Amino acid sequence: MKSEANIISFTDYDGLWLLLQKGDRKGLEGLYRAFAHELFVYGLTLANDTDFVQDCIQEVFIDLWKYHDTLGKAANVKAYLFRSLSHKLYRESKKRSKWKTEALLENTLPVRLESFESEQAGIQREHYLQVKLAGSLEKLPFRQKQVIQLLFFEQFSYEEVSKMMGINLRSVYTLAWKALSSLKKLLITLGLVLHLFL
Amino acid sequence: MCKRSYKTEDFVLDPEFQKWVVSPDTGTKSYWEAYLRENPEKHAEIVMARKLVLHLSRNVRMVDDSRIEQAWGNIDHALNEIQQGYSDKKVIPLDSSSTLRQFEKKKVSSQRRFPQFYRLVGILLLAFSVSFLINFYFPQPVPKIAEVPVIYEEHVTPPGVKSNLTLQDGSKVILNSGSSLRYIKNFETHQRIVELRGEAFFDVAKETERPFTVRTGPVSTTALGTSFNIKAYENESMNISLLTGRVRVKRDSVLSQPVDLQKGEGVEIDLKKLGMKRVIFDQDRVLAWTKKTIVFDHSPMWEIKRVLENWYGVSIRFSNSPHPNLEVSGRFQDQTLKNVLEGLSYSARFEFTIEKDRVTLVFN
Repeated sequence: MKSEANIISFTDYDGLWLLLQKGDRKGLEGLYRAFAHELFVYGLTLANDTDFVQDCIQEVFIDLWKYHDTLGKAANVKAYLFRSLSHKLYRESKKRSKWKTEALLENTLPVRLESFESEQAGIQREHYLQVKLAGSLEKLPFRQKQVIQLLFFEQFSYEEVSKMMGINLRSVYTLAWKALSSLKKLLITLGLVLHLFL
Repeated sequence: MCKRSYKTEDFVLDPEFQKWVVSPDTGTKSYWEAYLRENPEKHAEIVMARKLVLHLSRNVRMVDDSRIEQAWGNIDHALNEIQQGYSDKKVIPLDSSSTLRQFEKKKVSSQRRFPQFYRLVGILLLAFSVSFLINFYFPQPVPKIAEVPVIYEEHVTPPGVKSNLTLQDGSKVILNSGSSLRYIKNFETHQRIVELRGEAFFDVAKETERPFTVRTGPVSTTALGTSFNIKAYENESMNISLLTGRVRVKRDSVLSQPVDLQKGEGVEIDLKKLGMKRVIFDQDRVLAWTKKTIVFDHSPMWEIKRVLENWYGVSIRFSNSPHPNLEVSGRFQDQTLKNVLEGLSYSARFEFTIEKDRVTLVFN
């Protein structure tokens, strides 16, 4: 099963969802295995605390099981899971409110930088800027961080993000605008600093 | 929002702008060049926006598999407990007084339910008759729908003939033999929809406002400006292969979630099954037909029969059925039917006769 999923990146998510609705644990397990990695990556971009993210992911799946007979049809299973996880993270982090202190602790997991994939050869990127931007992205407020992750890195459309965050299209845009505005300011100050030294 | 009032942030949020920065093509290039020419004062903002798009990064923390397994273990454990809980609740006390109490309650409730039932029937009857009378005495005028005549344009290629088409919007289509393409003349104002049977190669003219959709039975393939090949012969699995740009493939089923293809990717759809299968295809092979080339790659005889019948406009009959596991490969560029059959006959071990448009293969 595992190797198959690697060669042809295809799993019948809707089929798994149907199984889950019928109360078959295989459906739940299939969905978990299909999305666990992505959910961890996404969760960790919002909350830099692996144990906390793991707890939330576990609860998302336990809830899915608890309420499986009231689940509707999921138009987009991935979006549904991402939405459930961000709700959970948001609510739990408020409840525990240890979030902010935790975020300051260094996470020991290996880190990889991820930027837009480019089909154009020879695009020059400054590693220094990428590191700085990734760092300040993590320091943005929760909702701003979330909107940038969903729009830019998880490649959801504006419509999908609006549904996932439960706000209208206009607000998605404004939220993303604010986030980019702070990132832009960082670029400008960095530019000035570099200018002074050179 | 008008793009003339764009600020740096708006540029970054514009998918077209992102595309131009990350993977430009001639369309986006000329668009943004023109934009810069008309709005030279935006130069600095665009430089900044480009810098942001290029360098926007996130830290991805990799979780190892053992943690994922561990988390599943926890979930599994919790599920067991939940199930345990359900069965605990079903335990019923055995003592006699509780049984008696249960019966008492039942009696009372059954007495009460009956009049309630009749009351409900009465209310419903009244409601129905009132609405019937209203409808009878005050019939609602039937709204008149202005009928706009819809004129379809249809191209059909008989077996043995391929055709090159240019649609009204500038999109180019190569229609394989034995196929048909149908669409509303001049398209609609907000979308371009064509219906395809058989196989065709599409090079879609870019119009961001009017997506281009190819319907093949219950499947739609939507693009803005791309080129792709669709094979949708009856009773065979469907293949959609993307050469440039991006397309979205969706089945009509509510359950099915759309698949976005990147260039070089394809999907195979078996209409008898749920879902779609992502495949990597061989471009040379998929497009061979547009270059007068027949390619068989471990093809079964029924497929060879369909391809040749379609290609040369003949009907092929098998005498003695071929071995069910027989698969044949071969590549023929611009060849006569006789040459193709000769080429195949060695590996597939058959003899053949061609009489006008009737071909007989005799398997040894």
